[in-house]
Amino acid sequence: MNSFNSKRIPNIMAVIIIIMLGAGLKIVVDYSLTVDKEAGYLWAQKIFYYHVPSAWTAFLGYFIVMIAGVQFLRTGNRKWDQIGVASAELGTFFCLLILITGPIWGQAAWGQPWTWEPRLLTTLILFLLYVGYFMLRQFGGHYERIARNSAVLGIIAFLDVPIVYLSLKFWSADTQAHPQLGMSEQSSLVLNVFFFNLATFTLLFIYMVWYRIHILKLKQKQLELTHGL
Amino acid sequence: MFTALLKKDLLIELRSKEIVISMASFGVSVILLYSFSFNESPKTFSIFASGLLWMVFLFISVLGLHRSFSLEKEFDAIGLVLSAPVDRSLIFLSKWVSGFLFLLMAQIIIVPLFWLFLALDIPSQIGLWLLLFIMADLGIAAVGSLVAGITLRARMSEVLLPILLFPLVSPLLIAAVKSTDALMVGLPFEEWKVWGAIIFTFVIAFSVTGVLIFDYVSEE
Amino acid sequence: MDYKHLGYFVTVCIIVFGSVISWWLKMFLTERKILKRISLLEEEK
Repeated sequence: MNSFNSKRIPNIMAVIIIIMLGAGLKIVVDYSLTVDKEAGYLWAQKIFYYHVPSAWTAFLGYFIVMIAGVQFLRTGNRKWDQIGVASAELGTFFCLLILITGPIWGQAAWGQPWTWEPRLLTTLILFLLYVGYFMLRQFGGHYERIARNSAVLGIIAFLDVPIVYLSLKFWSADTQAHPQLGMSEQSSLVLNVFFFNLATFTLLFIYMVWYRIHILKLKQKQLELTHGL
Repeated sequence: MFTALLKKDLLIELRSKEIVISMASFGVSVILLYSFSFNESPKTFSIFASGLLWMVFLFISVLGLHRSFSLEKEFDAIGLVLSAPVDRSLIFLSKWVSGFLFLLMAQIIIVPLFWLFLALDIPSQIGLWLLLFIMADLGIAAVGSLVAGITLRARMSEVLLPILLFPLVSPLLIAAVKSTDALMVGLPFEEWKVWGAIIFTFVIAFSVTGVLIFDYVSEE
Repeated sequence: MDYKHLGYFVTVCIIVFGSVISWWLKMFLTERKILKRISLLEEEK
């Protein structure tokens, strides 16, 4: 097996991603309007273009974990477990990004780093769930059981997400009003920049998962060679 | 087959009563601590009462689930049951129902004491109270049995079980607390039915998932 | 020029780009390490 960076498609992807990230940054800096005219905080608003795509990517990742879980339980093929772990790791990576950029944005735009907002809280709960997921993989015993239990956990976790979101939505309606962003009311310029960044992050995510899986396979090969001796 | 499994769980418990008693006594001691550490008048306290109550139930559920599943592990009974030609989802069902019953029994002991210690008013609408507790308990037992099935054979299972359970069960917790609050002030069901709906959805979602998926959890 | 809020934005950019780059570097180094070990193991065979 050779290095990931010697394969053609990943390299093409990497180049595209770097270009898109650079272009995206330039567009966000130069051309995008602020999202919320009333807030008047020109620069801080632009965090939105990185915060929300991170959220999308994290949830995409966790969705893939669920699908991979189902497929692993159905087929028992190890590759599904690899896809699941890689997606879980990267989903959590982006989840952390949400949890870090969110309060920064909140502090900058609305003066409050933490709001009891259903989306932010759902993200926090999801993050905690996946901390548990990785603990389970760490302490779970031999590989077969770990893989199977992780698959089940991945399925349960994602199934829980809509219920968590709904309950938080009704819960926070009783508590303080919080700043919200209506996506459909934004101008097309804002939306275009947003979707561009969304596409960039999605491509980035796919690249990262692919790279991670490649390394997992390498690791497995290393272990097989070690035990073969 | 299901009734046989269920009967086994319940009979074992009936003989020693150790699960329900440990759950109930742990719960009561936490409540005692509450009344010491919250130096507030009963009126102020009743604002938090429902939240504290359901947290106690969550804690004791962790205790009960861990004991209930550990019993199987102790004699490797799970291995024996699994080698029998039984549909493994029945194990989930029996653990679910027995877990639900243990929690309910513990609650029957704890709730009146809670009311007494903290000098709260006696609420009306007993029927709805019962329904709420039954549904919420079913929900906790369902997720709990699922998570216990996943974590029990891991190392550090005492820690892993709550770590996984609490985030999963949070919507149920919110809904139960909200419903309890509503019942305590005597709100008509119309006003808080959304929380009832959430509890109901939760129970259905996780019991069905448990039945479908438990096969894979306990395979060895 | 609203420097304080520019600062917030720049911080976020640094965090986002920085973490992606760090992740990539970590993957790259891990991969190199594993590939080295594999080639050593294969030589011994």
